[in-house]
Amino acid sequence: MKIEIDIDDKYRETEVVIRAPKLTQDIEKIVALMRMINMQIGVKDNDETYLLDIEKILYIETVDRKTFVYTDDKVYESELRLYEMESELVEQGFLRISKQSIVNLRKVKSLRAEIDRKIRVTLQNGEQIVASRMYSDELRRKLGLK
Amino acid sequence: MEKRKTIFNYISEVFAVYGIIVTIYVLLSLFIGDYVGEYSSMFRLGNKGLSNATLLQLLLLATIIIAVRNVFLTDRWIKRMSIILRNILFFITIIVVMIIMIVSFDWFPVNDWQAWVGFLISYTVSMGVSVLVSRLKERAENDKLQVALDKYNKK
Repeated sequence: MKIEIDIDDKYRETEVVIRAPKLTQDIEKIVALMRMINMQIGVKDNDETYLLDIEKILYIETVDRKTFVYTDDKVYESELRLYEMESELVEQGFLRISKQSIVNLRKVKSLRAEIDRKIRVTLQNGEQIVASRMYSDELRRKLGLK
Repeated sequence: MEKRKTIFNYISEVFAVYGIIVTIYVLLSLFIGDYVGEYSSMFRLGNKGLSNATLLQLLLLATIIIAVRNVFLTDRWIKRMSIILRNILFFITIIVVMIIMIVSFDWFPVNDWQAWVGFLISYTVSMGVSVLVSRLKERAENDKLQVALDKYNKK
């Protein structure tokens, strides 16, 4: 892949152009990662691609090597892997809470200590997910409790 | 990120419980050892302290408590079970273990019903206090988490 960066005062805004013979998964990933900078994420639902505002995401989960993005009322699929999303979304208030999921802390309604130092996370739509023991310390740290 | 528990973590848990149990029994032996020395094998030495046999029996008890605790009060072996059921099973298992130890090690005469009543009352009270303390601790932890979350989301 050829990468060309042209920095010049003559440009009014940042523009990214991708030239390729065909749309591949790699290109879709690049686009999805760039969308995240604009606080949006490219997701799929029934083979249709949507741009989803990051603030609408409750949590992201990986199941059988597929990544699912959960909002209040819908579940979308993403081309990106969980770790790729994590690295981009951590600045936006998202946090890894288990090997399978990242949660949007802004969308968390309540937290409850569970057995064995886990934390039950209740989201604004009432859905519950569990922060594993491994990651619950990081959650406590993020909230200023450690 | 938390490290996995090693055998040394379990050993330190055992000795933490063992320390508390031994301290309680040493204090008991100081105050009532001479009075119950004839009655209970645990206080055979009177107010002079605890015998090696008693110390080893208490170490066995502490080890079993930690093992049972790790079975029922963590999710290492049992993944899905309510906290209440976990506590009930934990307390039942411990009481069964203690009854076996009382009979095996002659901690008090098995035909003395008053001793059994005393044991059951003290066990129930101590378990009640333990449940109450853990509930209060859990509630305090939940409040702390919620306050921190609200504070974070107000940023």
